[in-house]
Amino acid sequence: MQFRSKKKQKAIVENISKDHNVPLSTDLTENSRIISNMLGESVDFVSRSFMIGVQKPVKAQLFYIDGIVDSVIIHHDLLKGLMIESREAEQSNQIDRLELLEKHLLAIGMVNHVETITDLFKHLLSGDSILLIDGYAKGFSLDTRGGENRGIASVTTQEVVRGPKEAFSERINLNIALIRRKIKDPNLWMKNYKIGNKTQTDVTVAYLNGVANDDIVQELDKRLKDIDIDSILEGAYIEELVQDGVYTPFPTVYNTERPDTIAAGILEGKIAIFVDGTPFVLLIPALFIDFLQSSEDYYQRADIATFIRVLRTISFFLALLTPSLYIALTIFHQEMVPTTLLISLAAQREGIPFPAFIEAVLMEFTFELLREAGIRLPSTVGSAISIVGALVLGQAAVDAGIVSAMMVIIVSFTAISSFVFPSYNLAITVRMLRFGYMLLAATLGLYGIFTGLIIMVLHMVSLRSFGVPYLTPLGPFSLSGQKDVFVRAPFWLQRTRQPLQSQKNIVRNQTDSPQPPKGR
Amino acid sequence: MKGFIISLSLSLILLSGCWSGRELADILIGVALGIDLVDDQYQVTLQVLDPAEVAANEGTSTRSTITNYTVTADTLFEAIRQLTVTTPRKVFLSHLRLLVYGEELAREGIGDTLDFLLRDHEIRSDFVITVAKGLSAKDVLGIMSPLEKTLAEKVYTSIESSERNWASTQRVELDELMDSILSNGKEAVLTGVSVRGDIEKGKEQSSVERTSPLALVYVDSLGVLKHDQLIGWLTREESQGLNFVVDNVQNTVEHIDWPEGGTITLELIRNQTKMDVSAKDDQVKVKLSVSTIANIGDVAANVSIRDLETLSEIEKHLGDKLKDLMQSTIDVAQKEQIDIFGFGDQLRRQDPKAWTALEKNWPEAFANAEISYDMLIEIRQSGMVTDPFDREFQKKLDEKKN
Repeated sequence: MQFRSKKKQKAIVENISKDHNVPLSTDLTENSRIISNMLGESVDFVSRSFMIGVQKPVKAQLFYIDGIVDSVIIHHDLLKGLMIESREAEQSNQIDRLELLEKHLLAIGMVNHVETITDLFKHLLSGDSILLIDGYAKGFSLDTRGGENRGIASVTTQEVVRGPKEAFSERINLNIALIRRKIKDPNLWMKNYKIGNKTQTDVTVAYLNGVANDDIVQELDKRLKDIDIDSILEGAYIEELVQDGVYTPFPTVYNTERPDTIAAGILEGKIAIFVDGTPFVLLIPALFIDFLQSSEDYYQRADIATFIRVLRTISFFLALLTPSLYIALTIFHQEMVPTTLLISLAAQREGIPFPAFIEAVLMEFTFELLREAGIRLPSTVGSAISIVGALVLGQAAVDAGIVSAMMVIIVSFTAISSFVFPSYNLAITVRMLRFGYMLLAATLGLYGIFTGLIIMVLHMVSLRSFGVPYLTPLGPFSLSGQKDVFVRAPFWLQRTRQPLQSQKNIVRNQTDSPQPPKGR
Repeated sequence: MKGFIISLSLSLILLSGCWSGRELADILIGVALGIDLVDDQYQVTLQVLDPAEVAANEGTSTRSTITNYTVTADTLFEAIRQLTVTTPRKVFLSHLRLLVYGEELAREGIGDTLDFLLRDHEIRSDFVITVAKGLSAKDVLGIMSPLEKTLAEKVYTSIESSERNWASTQRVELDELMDSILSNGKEAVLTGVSVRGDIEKGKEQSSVERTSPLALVYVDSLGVLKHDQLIGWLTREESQGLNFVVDNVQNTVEHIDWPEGGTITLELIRNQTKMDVSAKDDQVKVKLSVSTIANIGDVAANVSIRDLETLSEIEKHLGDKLKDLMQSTIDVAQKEQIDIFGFGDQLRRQDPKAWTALEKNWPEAFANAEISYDMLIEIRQSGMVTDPFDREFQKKLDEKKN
């Protein structure tokens, strides 16, 4: 049976961890053998035996996993200290060797004691080095985490014209540091979790204590602790496992690779979830309007930002409804089209072999294919797709009389509108819903489209993101919340944080509106 | 239960198909409808257009952009359905722009045709209604029109622009016509469409290949209806007078004869007429307050328009001219006892009690109504030059003489 019951699975996992929860032996050779066996004698596992001291030499062994440790630290700071400088330290009157090592020889910031095999592996596999001394049933885990990383690259998914260009990378500690650097407040609290029975992925929750809603913090804590899965490879795993509504096309957890967006979210009272191994950081609770906003809205003048937001809101409906409106108008409501336009449409439709609905589905499908292919293709062949796309979707299809020129315009228009969204996951939602609306338009006309819209709004109103209504501040209407929805009010007008996300400490700004100097 | 609801709503979408949907390629767009009376039957002429020809960028084919289909039947609805035996597709009437009645039918009465036009769900009520002056609707619709690709479009835009810039026509739509016919206090008018030139040759493509087409369609006068029957035609001046009385003038041009010789032409850029109707002891009094703003457009007289006194004299002359224009129309209407101005409707609004008393004998009461005018004319601009060319020219002549 492939699908074991949850209980059974849990029992198996617990058994294994119980077996490993044995204390270390005092015999170094025995310890070394157990560790090596449990790792299946993997090639990246390194164990180095050496002697500490000359007068009363004692056998010691250092274990680490190659590639996830910083080898410079191991060679220069660790081994050098233990093997060479230990000779001088011997002169002192220290009795306990372990204490001597910890206080005088281990030039490492973070040193922990390990006493069980489980403990040992948790540290060893995270990149720490383990130092075991013969004759002691405990050892040290030394923070030597390191290895290659991509460094801080520039953003690739949410470009801005004005604003910081740095992006998160795969390393969680670097990502957290990026936020620390932006918010220098002791109230920026972070809590660590290790999730994934096999991957032991580091997950860090960051929030501004006193600003974030405590209920949401606790709820997230509970949901994260409830996760029992063998692997967390990307933030999306966490997103799917902690979100409120399961059956919805709309994203209820926000993700971004922009540190400034995360910092702004935390300052608004939201909670960030960092997951090791992915440059995308999650932000909860996520509201619908968050997906229509870009961090650049706050870096441009308020009036320009407002204009752009209105543009985006319109483009949301255009991307969703343009093809279905075309279908509904040409099949059911010809009387609503201006005469001249109708004549021109009718002229184009003459000789087209497919009904308008089939034509629209065909073209939208082709476009989705092209877009998907464009993403998956290696960038060296990527340009080929645009040439083929321009030919297939463009002139050739019209010349061959398979589709009308108007349809090509509709598809291109829809595509352009859907590229306006600053967030990719809302764009996918819209792409998918579009086909539903096309079907409704083809069967029930405008009536169908509006029924669909009503159903969609009802669904969105019922959605919650960590208990916060999805359409806040439109759904439960809040007048003060409107300052940062479609309109981006100047900063001196936005004095409070968005309600519902943060219930206490809501004043965030007390700057008065700038005035020219008096007497002029 | 959930699955049941989902499957029910899915079948609603999937099983209904494209109920009452029509592809654009399956409909025939009718743009003009002509109705004549032939041997006590309706002869219906439908003008449909060929979208491919109308929208074509390059004129490759020699097919006409429009096609007229004519059938004869006992009722209008039957006639339109009967069209399907000759048309390739089902006729679609939502984009109808023009309805033409033959004069013969209009004189018999158009009332019987209106019910279908109102009742049919496909027909909108925003097309213009006209009467073919002195000929059949079929002949009018047959004329090829230059510039505009369909005759319907040509008549539609002609009426619109002449109403706006010349004030000699009225754009009458279905609901307005119905209101006028049903009301006791107003009679209907319809714009007349006439053809000048050779009707038979004007139906050929070669007609519009010439610089002066062999036949042209004019919209230039208003036909007056009593109840639903056409009883006569107003002249161009009377039509303008009617539009001045009913406050339907947006912009027009009037000239006045200057007492010392020559003419001055003025462009009326804004005009407002307020109608005040009252009744005392069966005597109806109508007061028309006209306020007009005019620009001087053309001075072919030896006057100095820098002179304020001259200007007020021009204003007075224009006022008299407009007064005459309106009075001549009112005289004709009073003689025929036909209230085409809606004085009765206005009385009903202002003094419902008096109207109830007068309603039965309204034609007589209207014929005896006293009309008074209150003209307020203002000349605002004098164009790009101040002193007229004529005056400068006279000066030069005088200098030479001396």
